[in-house]
Amino acid sequence: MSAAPGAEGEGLVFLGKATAVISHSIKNVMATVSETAGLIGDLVALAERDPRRIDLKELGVLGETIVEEIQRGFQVVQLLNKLAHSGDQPVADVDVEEVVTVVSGLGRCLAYCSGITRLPSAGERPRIRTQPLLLQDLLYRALDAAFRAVGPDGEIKVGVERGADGVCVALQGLPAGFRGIFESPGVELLKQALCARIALDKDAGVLRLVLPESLDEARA
Amino acid sequence: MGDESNRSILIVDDERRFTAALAKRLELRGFSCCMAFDGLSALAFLEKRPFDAVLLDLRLPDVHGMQVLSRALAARPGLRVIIMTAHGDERDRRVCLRLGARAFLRKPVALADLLALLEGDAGGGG
Repeated sequence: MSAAPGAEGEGLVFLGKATAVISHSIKNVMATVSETAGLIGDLVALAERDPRRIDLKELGVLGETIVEEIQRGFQVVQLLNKLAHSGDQPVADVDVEEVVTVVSGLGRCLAYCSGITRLPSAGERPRIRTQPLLLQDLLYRALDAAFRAVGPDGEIKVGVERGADGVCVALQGLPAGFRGIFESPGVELLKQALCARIALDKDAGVLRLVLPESLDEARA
Repeated sequence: MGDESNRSILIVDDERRFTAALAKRLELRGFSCCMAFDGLSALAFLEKRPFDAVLLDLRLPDVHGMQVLSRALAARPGLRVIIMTAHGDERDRRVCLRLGARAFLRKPVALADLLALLEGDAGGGG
């Protein structure tokens, strides 16, 4: 089973955007490693001229910074790997929590949407049969719209729960003026391709993306 | 490491560790550095005191670096602003230079290139 042609195009655009965000993040890691290593070199050069000026504690902290930045870079590369493989199969059994983790990780690469808090799930991690790439795209658009509404210092809480009509990804903490993500033609395409329902509870400030347990059955 | 007679630099970047390391390296070479981690803080710094140069990232959490560039140059014409970004493409470079940036550097930046730009002339007008 494949998605509607328009939706597949949306998925491709999403992968391109995600790759750009991730390459930006990797370049930032490399810039930090480069500058920190350069600083260690500067401090060593100073100490060679005057050994009293060597500060071993500072050198230790800078070494630790490099290790932590390399770990950050490794996590970003893992994220890229997961995103790249999400297009391997058009429809697959998907751990929804895992999708939220990947998209939250992508969001954290962006300066303006770093305040994502995950809400713990009750019970078993929900799995559904869906199109992983398109689900990531839809969730990314929802998070992007949410952070454009709350601002870079805002916080959006994301939770996953199983309900009577499928699995729900809920974004909490939206401001009163939030208008949803309904206006984009791309969102409509994704919604149709995923047989998803999007509901905005303005009073509670919650956006819900409700996904069927099985896309094959929902389309039948 | 040379003495730049405390020429003052404002570094605007939300990558805090990068900013701190670069600031320290410039200070070891005699520059005086301030750090801002978002665009509005940078503009607030620029309102309060003059700087000889601004090193500016484009992707900031609150406002885009190009907006900071425009507003900084409107407030302080002639201020030497050098863009340092991990994100910008050729179109961004052209726009930034047209807006008045002195240079457009892509991260990771070679310190020698940055120093050459900072030491180029004493002008700044900030």
